[in-house]
Amino acid sequence: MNNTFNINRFGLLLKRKWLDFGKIYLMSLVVLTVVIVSFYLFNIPIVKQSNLRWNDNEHAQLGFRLPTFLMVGFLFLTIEASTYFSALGQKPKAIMELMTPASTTEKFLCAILFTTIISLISYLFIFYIIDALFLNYINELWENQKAMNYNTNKLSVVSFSTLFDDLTEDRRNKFLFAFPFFFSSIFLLGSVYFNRFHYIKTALTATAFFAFVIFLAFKAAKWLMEGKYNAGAQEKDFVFVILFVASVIVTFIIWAITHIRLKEKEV
Amino acid sequence: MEFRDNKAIYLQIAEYVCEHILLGKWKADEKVPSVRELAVEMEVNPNTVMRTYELLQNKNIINNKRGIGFFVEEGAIDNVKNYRKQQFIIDELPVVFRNIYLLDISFDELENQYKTFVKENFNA
Amino acid sequence: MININNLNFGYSKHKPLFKNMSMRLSNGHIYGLLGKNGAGKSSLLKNLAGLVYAQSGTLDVMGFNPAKRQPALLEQICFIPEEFYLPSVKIDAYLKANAPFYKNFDHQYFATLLKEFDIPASNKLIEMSYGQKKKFIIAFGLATQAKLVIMDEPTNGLDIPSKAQFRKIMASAMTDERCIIISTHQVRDLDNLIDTVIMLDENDVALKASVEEITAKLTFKKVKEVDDSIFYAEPSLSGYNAVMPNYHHEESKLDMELLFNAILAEKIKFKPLFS
Repeated sequence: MNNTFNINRFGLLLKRKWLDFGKIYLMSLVVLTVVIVSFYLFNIPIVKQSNLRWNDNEHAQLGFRLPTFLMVGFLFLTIEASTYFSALGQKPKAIMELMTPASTTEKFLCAILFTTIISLISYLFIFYIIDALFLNYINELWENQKAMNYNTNKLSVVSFSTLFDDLTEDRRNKFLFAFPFFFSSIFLLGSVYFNRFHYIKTALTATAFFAFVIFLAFKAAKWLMEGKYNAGAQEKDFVFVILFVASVIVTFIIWAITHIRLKEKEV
Repeated sequence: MEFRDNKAIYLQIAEYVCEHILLGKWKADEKVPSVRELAVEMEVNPNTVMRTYELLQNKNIINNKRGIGFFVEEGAIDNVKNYRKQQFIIDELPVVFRNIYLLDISFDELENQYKTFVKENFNA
Repeated sequence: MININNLNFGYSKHKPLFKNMSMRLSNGHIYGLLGKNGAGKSSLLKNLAGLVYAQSGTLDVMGFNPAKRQPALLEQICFIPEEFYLPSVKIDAYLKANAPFYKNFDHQYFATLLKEFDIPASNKLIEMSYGQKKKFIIAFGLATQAKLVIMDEPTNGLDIPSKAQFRKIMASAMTDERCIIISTHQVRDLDNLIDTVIMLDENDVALKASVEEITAKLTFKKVKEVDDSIFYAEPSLSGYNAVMPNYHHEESKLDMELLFNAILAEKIKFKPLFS
């Protein structure tokens, strides 16, 4: 018998996890939908309101959308991740979880699949659908209306951009694509590490830790670069590449630590 | 079954089996309950019943037909009586004798008492 | 089945719970684990199940190290904790989710056990009482056909008829391939089921002996007066309940509670008998 990974057992684990927390997960998706819809309802520009924002492609922008997308997404992913292993903090549940005949690796991969991949896909899917429905609605509302585009100082036909436009508008955004994985990995680790109040404890610890790291990095950079030169556009890109690579590497490191902590978890 | 406090459980189970044989509930050459069945009925460890059955085999009260189970021996009733008689003489008779001596009960009185008892209880 | 060698364990470095504990347990027995509160009964069971890790020493359960939590071992362990959790689903949903992990799971046997325990199969787990839930996890655990059955205070929360049902079920669950370990402080519920007594005291095994061995060496009886030959006695209605060496090959019934108190009180007297 393979004691590390067996696809059959992994499938059983996924099924059991789904039976156990599928209902709660679906409810959380309903809550998520309500939250996103209410953001849209409160913020969609109605006709006659003319102070629109415009992007470079001459599309009108929904200014609230990107912050909403990022903020709600952050909360959704981190809450999902920080509740995943929270059961291990309660003795009776932890015994049941640890005594389940599946390997730690399988249990860990199941966690990754649920907290990052499934959560991320369902979040993007729900946001995309809601966005598409609302765009459909307001584009009809504004059909053939014109408004002043302050970027070009011309009266232009109003047509709203999609979420995808927002995300790709600044090409540097692509360097941030590892961030959802990064944040969810931190909160998944927190859910194994702490026994109670996982979310708040993880948030405080992670904030303190990264504030310290960033502070050190700035100090070091200042000391190294003191008075040498100002960074040009090329170097700024380089900084973003480093940020991307670092976030990927740190994510994998945190996952590795989570796996080890899960192995060492005692009741 | 209620067990008494003063005797090893495996012996009390042996008494139970003997009682059944004496009363004719389990007849010669008939199968007795398996170790597990009797353990479940008595709510005891099967190893205890195994010990009982080993004892009863030694006393030629039951025998083990390999692969089939335990059966009541041909002359089980006599053997049970023998076994019980020994037990009675060793365990209980000294107490009875002690009381007879201390209370100064005559053999005549004892005989009368015994006859009435048999009449009342066994209609003999 | 189980081999414990020089086990050192404690929840903190300064307060060791087990010091160099060694013990062998084999299949075909029901072990009764006794000990005062805090003597480490639950901790020993958790060590065997791989839920906690020893500081040093080796632990071998059916050829595995339980600390590795390998599925091949986990599916051979039925662990019934004192406090347990059951999700709020129906019995058949629970079965569907959990039974497939155990490739020897016996559905028919499970149905029989539920029937013996008087639990309707259509019940929702959340609506059951504590005792019913306990009976449910016992039934599930036994139906997995696990070779090592570990139960921490299984009769806690069971009513009187359920305790009798439990004893019957355990008597039938004991097979030659199985090793059953039951921790309890309610010895009267289980004393006829247990064939070997393990007593924990002062960071180690104070006694490990079969009922047969104990009653061969010791006799338990009622006496009118206490004399020097008696190891330990407790007053009762008609004199004393006493433990003494078994000089005359008497076949007495083991009084587990009395033995327990006797060993706690007079450990030195018993040491030479069981070593």
